[in-house]
Amino acid sequence: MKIRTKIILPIVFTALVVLSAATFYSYFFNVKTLEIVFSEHLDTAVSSRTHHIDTFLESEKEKIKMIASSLIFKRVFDEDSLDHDTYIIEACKRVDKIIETDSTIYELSVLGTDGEILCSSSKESIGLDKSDTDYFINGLKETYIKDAYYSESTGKNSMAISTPIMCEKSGCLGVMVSKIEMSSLNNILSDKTGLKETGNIYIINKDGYAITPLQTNDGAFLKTKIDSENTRNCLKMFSDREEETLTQTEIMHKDHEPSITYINHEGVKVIGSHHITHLINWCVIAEIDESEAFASTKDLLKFSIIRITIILFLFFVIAFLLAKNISEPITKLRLGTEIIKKGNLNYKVGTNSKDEIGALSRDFDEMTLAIKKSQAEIDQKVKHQTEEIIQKQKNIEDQQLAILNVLEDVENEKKLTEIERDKIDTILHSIGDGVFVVDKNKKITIFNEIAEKISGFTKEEVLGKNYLDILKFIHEKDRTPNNDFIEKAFTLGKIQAMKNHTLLIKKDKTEVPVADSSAPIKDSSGKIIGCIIVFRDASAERKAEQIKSDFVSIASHQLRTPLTGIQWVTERLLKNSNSLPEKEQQYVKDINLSSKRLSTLVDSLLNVSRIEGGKITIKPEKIELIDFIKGYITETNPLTTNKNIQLTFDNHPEKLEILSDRSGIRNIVQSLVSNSIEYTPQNGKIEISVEETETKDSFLFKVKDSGIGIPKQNQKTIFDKFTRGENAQQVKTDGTGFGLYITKQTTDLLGGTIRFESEENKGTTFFVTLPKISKAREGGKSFV
Amino acid sequence: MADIKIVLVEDDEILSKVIKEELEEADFKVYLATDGEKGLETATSKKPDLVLLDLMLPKMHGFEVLENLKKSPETAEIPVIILTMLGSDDDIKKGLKLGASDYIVKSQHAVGEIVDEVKKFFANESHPEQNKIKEEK
Repeated sequence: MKIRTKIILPIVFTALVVLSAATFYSYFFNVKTLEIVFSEHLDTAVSSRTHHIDTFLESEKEKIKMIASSLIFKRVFDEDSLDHDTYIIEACKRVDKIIETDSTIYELSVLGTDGEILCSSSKESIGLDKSDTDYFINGLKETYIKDAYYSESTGKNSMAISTPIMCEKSGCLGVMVSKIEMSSLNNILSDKTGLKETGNIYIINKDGYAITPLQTNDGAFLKTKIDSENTRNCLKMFSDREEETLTQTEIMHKDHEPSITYINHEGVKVIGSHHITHLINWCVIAEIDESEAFASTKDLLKFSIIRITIILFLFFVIAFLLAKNISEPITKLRLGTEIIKKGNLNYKVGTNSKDEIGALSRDFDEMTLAIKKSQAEIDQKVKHQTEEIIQKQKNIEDQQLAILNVLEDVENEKKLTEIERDKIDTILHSIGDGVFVVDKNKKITIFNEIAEKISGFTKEEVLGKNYLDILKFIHEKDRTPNNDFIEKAFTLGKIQAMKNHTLLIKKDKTEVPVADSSAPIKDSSGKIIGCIIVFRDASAERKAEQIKSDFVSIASHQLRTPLTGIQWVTERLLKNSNSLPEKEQQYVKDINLSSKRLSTLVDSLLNVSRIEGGKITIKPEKIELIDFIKGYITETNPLTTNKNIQLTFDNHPEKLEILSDRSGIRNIVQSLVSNSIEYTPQNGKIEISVEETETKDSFLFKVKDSGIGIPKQNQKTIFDKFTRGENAQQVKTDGTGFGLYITKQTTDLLGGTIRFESEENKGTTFFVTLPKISKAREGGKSFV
Repeated sequence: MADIKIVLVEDDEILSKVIKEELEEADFKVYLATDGEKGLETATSKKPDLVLLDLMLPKMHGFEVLENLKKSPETAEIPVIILTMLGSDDDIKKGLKLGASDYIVKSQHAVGEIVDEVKKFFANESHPEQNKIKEEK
């Protein structure tokens, strides 16, 4: 809706409502007032006419009474008088004279006591007997007014007044009768003062018949019965007057009622009033057409509507001008924005109005100007930047060319790389072991088919995930995580072997023994960027190991019994050696020695088997180390004496109590001391010592000999199985290469370390550092 | 010492023969049983002064024999020395727990040494107080 409409509509609508309300109120007020005024007019008119009629009848009544009282008529009844006939003639003459002078009475008669007309203005009626007439009968008693009737003798609409004529003598009585034409009343009724054109006054008798002419019907006399609400109300007053014993005053007040509006006998809507006469039961009715009565109000309504229309028009014009005044600058502003929107920033709205809209339009112009300015700046900038962009694009095109060249090179390189990668993939897939690679964030980047097979995870499940979340390596023994070999590859940057007895938890939560190693991956600068882990399903190996271990264990046990048998039998032979020749005695000694070596070898095998099967038990118990070592040295006395070796054990605390595994300690002491005796030539020197370390929680057991030493080339592997110094083989051919291996393993199991210093042909010193308190270890079997 | 009776329970023919001979030479009266059941039977009937009991025996394991001996009031007082081949700590400890007086690892000793051990045992037996002191140590 336009602003103009928004302003005009409410104003006009409000004006319409107010004006209509005011006009209709005034109209209905006027109608009401008019109704009251007319009612009063009618009442006044009908009252005055009724009063006239009453006055008229009263005067006629008095007139006839006065005539009847004159001597000239009384004398008529003086029949005894001699002049009786003369008297009658005189009376008749007087009657004629009265008729001549009186305007209202058209017939005057004197009736005798017997009802015979004695004298009359109507000569032909003299002598007629009127004794049965109501005016004679009633006229004998008092003055009587006969209601309107049609006189057949005269053919006139009449009314009559009769009055008794009293003579001097008693009992002599006549009646004077005057007849009056009804038209005498017309003068009174035809006066239309206070009534309009349609105003009408007429009289009805007590039976409801019209006795005066009606407006539309002159001949209605006693022929037309008028029946309307007004006449009915009026006639009812007669019955009221008869029924109720009202005082004269009350009757006076009760002789008329307020005017009403009704449909009259002619079917016209009228306002009417009525009044009853006093001397006779007549109703005086006044009516006026409502259409005429309220004609002025119709004019008023017409005028009101015209007035409303004019005022509304004026309001519309005012509202239109006001709206125009408000909307014009807005429209102008809007048109301006339309033009500016289309790009014409030079356009100025420029309204001159001093109100807010004017100010707005001027602000708008300023804004447009500002936009124009800034657009110009932007244009400038855009132009500048476009130039730059063109320049840059040129540069980019140059660079693109360069890049394209590089890309071509890269593409070639990529092809080569792809070939390399294909090769690597092929290699990885061809490898019989599980292989996976983790990046520096420990995320798995490569996972080969065998790895999938062993772990049960698919490549898709593991790639991109932290290997710690997927691949759980644990110790078989205590089921703690065993990822050290991977973590150490990262931290130390060196190849790390997986610990023995490592299990991998598969996807289905079953466990599989695995073995192998991890290796760090380094970039060209040596920075560790990942780690490659190789592992294999070691179930078969583990099983084989177990079988081997069990075999060795059982075999060793089974070997021992016969070995012991051989030893004991040879011992018995030697005990009774006297019975044998010298040579045979030596054979028996050789058998005994061989069986002892074999026995030692079996023990070693058993220990190795237990160590490798992970079945060594470490049971720490209280040992007094110094006495323990001294005890063993005593056992070796025969050997050292044989080779004239000077063995000393001087450097040691007086007592040293430790909590360790007895068999383990014995293995270490026995192995190192017996070795030193074995490989130290005649007249050599062996020094054994025990000292506590600075921290007091460990001790150092040292065996120093002046033996053949360990050749440099064997030093690295001297603790390995089956490894012996090359020179040692010349000294002692039957060495097994188990001794130092077992010693090293035992030291590890007891939580200690072993190292040596050696120079060929000069001697060797072994340093064993062991904790005073070793940790217990569940395994099943002790050292032999 | 011919009045000292020893029941030797050992299944190996040669080993038992050699030990028996050595013991008899040392004047012990030796009754040999070659399986666990016979060992228990002989120890019960002969009421020896000592039982030398091998562990790996046919028919009844040495530990079972030991248990039965210690259970029966007749034989409960008879001292038992376990003869073992492997010298496993577990075996030794279990034996001592079941009531054995001592143990000898056969493979670590010459046969003469075994007899020495027996003699040493009886020497300690004859001086119970000394033995007691040793135990306390």
